[in-house]
Amino acid sequence: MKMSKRLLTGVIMSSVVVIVLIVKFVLFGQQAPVAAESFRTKGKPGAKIQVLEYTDFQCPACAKAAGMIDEVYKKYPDKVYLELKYFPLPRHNFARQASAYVECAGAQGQFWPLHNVLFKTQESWAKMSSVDEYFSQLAVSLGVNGEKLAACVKDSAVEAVINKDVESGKASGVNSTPTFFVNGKMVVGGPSFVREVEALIGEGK
Amino acid sequence: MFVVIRVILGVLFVVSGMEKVISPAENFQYVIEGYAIFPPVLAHAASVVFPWIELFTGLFIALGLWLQPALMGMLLISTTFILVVGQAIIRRLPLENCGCFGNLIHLPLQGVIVLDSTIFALTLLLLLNTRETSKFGLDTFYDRAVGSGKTRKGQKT
Repeated sequence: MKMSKRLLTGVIMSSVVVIVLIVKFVLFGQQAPVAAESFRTKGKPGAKIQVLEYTDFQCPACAKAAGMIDEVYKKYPDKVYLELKYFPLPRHNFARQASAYVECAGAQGQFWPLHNVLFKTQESWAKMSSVDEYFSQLAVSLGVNGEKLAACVKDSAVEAVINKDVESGKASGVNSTPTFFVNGKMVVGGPSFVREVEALIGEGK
Repeated sequence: MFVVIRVILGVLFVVSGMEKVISPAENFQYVIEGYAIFPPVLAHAASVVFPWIELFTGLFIALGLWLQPALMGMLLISTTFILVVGQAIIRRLPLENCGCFGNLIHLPLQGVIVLDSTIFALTLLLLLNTRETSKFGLDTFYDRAVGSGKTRKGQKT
């Protein structure tokens, strides 16, 4: 017996929906990532709003978001706890190197200072043909030991840290930057992050 | 040739739609917000609904099922893409890539306009040649079935 055209349409559509839901569950069904304690964090660990940010140092939207995050911290210094994770996008040729330098500066206590400087100078270094010397000079000017830094950025353990972050981001459905998980809820882009934080703080009033 | 174009266009939309429906909607919402047309609430609604429309439109075109309305849907979608990307180029919005294929392909806005215009032209071509385009499609299969049913009924009476 032939299936009617409308019935066939319904069967096709429901099968696709079921397949998509299964694939979605398999790929991203795990619990949303949460912020942990490390030198890549800022704010009070027990703060009401826990944020995990996946960033790319060569992404212009991430540079803008960094300014927005600073504003949020000025406004609500005790209410937000943020952990940063690296998510260098393949199309940004220096993003991975930038992550390595920031990670290594972090090992010497200068994570946030180099993070801030790299975002502020992003437009200039993104156009350079090579960035190692520039990144190194910036880090040294912040008080980082140049020799230790040079050895650190070549260390495969640093590469492993970045890869781990990228993999954890992909497993949570991250494909662009900046992506935030605000109390476990995914939001993409600086303006969405600010809206979400404002909403959560507004709820608590 | 029309059938090949039909299947290619359909598969293109299926792949593009599938990538977006599988990925969290927040990623596509971010893309839509980048075009600075919709307020966040509408951008969120569009990020949830639009990928499904894209996916089913592509699927029906590839299968040749409800072909004419599906082609008209594709025409409407490609027109929307051209307008949205066009206004972004005119307004010089700082978009690194279109985001229209999710994370699969990264195209600059100028490249997307060319691609969308090609899709628009090909869809129009298919619409103007529906009979050729529907060959080997499910619509043809059902039309034949209905046609032969009518003939048999006609013979009985």
